[in-house]
Amino acid sequence: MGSFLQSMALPFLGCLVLTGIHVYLGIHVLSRKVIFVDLALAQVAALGSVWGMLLGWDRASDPWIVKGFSLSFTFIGAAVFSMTRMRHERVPHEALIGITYAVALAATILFSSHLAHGAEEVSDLLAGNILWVRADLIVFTTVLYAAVGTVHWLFRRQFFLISLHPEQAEAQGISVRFWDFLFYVTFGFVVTSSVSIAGVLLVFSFLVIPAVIAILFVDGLRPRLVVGWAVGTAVSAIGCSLSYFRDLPSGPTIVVSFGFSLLLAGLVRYVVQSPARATALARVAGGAVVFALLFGGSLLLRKGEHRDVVRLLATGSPAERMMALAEAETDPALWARARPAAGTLLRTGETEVRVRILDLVERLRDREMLPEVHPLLLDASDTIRERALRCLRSVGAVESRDPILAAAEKEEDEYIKVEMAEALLELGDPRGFEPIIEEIESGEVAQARRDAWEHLKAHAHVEIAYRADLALAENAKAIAELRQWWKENEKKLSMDASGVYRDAGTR
Amino acid sequence: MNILHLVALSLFPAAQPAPAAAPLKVVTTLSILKDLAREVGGDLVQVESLSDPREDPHYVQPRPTLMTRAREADVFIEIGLQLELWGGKVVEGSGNPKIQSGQPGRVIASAGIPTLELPQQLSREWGDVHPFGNPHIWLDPLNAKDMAANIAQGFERVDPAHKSEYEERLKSFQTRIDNALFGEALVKEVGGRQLARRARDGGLDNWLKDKGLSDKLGGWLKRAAPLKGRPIVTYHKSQIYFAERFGLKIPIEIEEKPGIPPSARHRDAVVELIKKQGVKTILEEVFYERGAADYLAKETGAHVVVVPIDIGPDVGIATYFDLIDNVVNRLLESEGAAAGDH
Repeated sequence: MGSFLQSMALPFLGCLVLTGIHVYLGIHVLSRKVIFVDLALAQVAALGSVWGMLLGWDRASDPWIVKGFSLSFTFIGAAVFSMTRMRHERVPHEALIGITYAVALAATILFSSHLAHGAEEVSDLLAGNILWVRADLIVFTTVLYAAVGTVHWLFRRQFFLISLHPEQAEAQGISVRFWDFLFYVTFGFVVTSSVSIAGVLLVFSFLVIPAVIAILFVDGLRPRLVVGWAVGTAVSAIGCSLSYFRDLPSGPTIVVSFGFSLLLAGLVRYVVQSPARATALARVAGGAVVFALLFGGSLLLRKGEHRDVVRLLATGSPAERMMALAEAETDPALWARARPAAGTLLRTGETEVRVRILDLVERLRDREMLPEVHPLLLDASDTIRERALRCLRSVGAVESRDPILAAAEKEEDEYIKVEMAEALLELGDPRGFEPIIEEIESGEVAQARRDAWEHLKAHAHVEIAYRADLALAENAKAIAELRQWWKENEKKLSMDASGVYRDAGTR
Repeated sequence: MNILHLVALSLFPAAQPAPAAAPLKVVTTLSILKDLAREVGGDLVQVESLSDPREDPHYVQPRPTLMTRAREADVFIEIGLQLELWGGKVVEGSGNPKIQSGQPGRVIASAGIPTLELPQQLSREWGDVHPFGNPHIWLDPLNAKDMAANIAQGFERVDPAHKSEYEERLKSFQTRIDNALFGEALVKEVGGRQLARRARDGGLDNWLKDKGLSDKLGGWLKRAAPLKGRPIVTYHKSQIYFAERFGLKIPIEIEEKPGIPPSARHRDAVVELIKKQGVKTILEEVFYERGAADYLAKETGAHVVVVPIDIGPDVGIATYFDLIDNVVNRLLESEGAAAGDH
């Protein structure tokens, strides 16, 4: 519980701050029938910051200037909304709000197509995340919202009159346009700062859902505020806990919790208000059963997980192939079936898949795959040639000798060539000395020559003073001796039990 | 030019300086590819990139100019591995037959390069993995070499007349990368390819020790040696190739899954890991939101280091070498400064 509090306290406090002001504003918004005005103003604010950035200001280094742009745009939006509210509306206000939203979003996209951070700015509105909110920001926002709240409290008569009964306000000589403008300015101010904290989805839910639930049940401002705040607080608590204990992203969890709370509230109201409660209850129960059946039924449509390893190897994505190989490794029968597909993949698959199969062949010591491995000694990729050789060194048998020798003769990488020769020597084939001597004679890379010399010394007792770190010319004598030794012994050498080659006749 | 010259020229047109063949028109998705294409193509190519280094390479807004550029391209270069899903749309939309999938003019720079994050073991979570492995391959200099090789191959397919020039320039680039990564002395002694193979299979240090070459190591790897084993936290999984090459550990990313906001538990897990493992640096790409990183920095005292992962004048990165230099320097700075704190 301690860690729950520690972890969710700030997001929950953030939710409370949002609840406080948004429930109140939500009641306004609902009575004005301008439900989506917050989305529109938030989008206009985003347009403002994009415009500021287009003028060269940077969000990271001049945050306040960019914020200033976004705020000024919000004010313009507020002016537009207050001026377009008509007394005998020919065009519903909601239409203008929708249009503003669409045009502002499109303009944001247009502007940001000339802006480096383009896509990010467009998606930024959704990005606010209540989880990263910090104490200082909560304090700052609380003070800000308290100030806005105070303004609204002081002028509550005007604000409510223009929201609920604009005609009466006009009759009393209150300038509807001016107070409308003030309303939208404060509203825009609040919404844009909330969106930057919590993202557009969460702000919209805080604004509308608690207010709707309150309106369903009670009349009058104060009761509605109380119910709205209670619902907002309760659902925030539920959402935060769900998010923590079920390990879900917080914002979306809270929004969905709000959705469920509204559904529940609607059903309760339906039952409570219906003249025949028993019937109503029965209907709700019936509806729940139908929903459960439909939803439960859809679970039967779950896509079956047929993991045919052979098919996945042939046609799957690299990730699926890797998983299929991992599965085949655990079951010899499965591997036997998968072998042909694996053989094809060794030639045509992605590098990772090929390396994985070589690994597998090595680990399973599967000699049947050797004919598929041999051609890889001539592969274009260094990595594959090296891994194939490694595989053969641990699994390989007599039949690998000729392919390795052929590959060593063609190999252009000096290290791999030396290792191929070493593999031959390990397999009891003295022809491995030839590429090693070649490397000592004419290799360009000092370290590879050194490796070659070490392998030679490990497999044969030669008394020759060769020094790999010297230039070729300075080793001329040693190399000539080495050639001589090889010429004399080429046909006579064979490997003893300790891996050293000796003259078979003198053993 | 005198009269005689003119007469001579009209009589022997072959004596005229041959008009320089029009350079290949190359279009790339990312600027890093543009840089590699210029390295390999030099004056033989004219390269344009479709995205800005300050943009998230996964999401680029399609604009008509992108189509126009793609329409005129002889070669189109992309990273692949589903990094730039928008790239395919631009190519198809351009209707340019030369650069459609499977055509000689289409270059997948990631071809044949082993990716990270493909599942190695059997796990229950089938399907919860990137189908092609992590696509952010280019912050490993060894991968840059292979990407350049793929690009060179593409140029040679489309413009076989200049094959030797492309090969030569590729080799020069690869050698410069090797020198920058391992140091010139070691490259001379051992050869870049062998070093690359040992570095790739993770055994470079041991191999060098084995052969008594450890003190010959230079370049980025030597400079970044203090970073080895250090844990850092990143926002997105775009630094894992860099981390792999330079031996950094990334125990956790801020982002739990790409594009999905993390849960509270994940956030707390990040905070706890940063504190427990003494993470000093939160490495973030220029195009991600700062909110999360700043939160973590304030909560834990770690530094936020913002680095570009692509090239361009707007981010102050001119070449691939600068790109890696910058990340190495910024990390050394942050880790060094952090060490001084305590």
